[in-house]
Amino acid sequence: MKVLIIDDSSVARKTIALTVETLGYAVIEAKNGTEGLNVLKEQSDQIALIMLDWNMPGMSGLEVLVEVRKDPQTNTIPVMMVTTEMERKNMVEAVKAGANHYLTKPFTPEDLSVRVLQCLGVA
Amino acid sequence: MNEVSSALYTSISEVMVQMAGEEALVRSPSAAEVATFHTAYFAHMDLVNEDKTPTGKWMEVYLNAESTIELVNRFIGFPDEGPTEEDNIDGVNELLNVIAGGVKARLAGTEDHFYLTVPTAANVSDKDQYPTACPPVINVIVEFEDGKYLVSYSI
Repeated sequence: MKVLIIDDSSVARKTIALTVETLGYAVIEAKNGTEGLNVLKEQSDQIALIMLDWNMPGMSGLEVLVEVRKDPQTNTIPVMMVTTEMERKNMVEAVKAGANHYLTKPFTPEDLSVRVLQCLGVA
Repeated sequence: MNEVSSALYTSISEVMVQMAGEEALVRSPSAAEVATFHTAYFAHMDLVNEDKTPTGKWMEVYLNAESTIELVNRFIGFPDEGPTEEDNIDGVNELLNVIAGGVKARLAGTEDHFYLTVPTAANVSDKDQYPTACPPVINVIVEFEDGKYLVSYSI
């Protein structure tokens, strides 16, 4: 199974991928919401977790999340919002839209590992 | 220390420990130091109101080349080939984004609260690009010297 990272920042994607790969999961990277949704259309059965940035050009992470939850092929895939938006009202908004977990930047690799394993039901 | 300054100080400290893996010396530089700092990479973010109208304020980060490469290497786990130019520009963007997000959260409920926009970064090595020390800019300068980070800010 694979983890889909949707983030406009290549450095953020690489940082997350580094930790996720050490946990033994393959990674697919998408640099915006549209690209991420296209990956999901083609490979939804292989995606165990979606890690989604909030603040992106074009579709925001929240808009991507709404689309993911609308689609019967993707609506059960766990979604973790990974974002600098650490205010409580943002977290509530994300959870209401269907996010399963919420991780705020900055985070340590250990924080990220724990959250990913929790999301995947192995911790 | 006012609320904005305190939020900035705390956010920078947290970002450096968690993203760069090291405590940084965080301080306010003198105007003379700001005026002579030679920038290689910088990123800019407009700060807006909830309805996306401009607040008239913005935040910028400035780094020299050595500091950028060291910082981005730490973000992406020291790949054998080192960071690419795209990584450097993107890493500076990410640094600003995370610092600004931390400041925003800490200012929630105050009259200084703002909303983020997508930051823009560039390599300006071929120009003389110095941080401006005048409000309404919030400036952050990151240097890496003798194995330690020195982060200066002015608001």
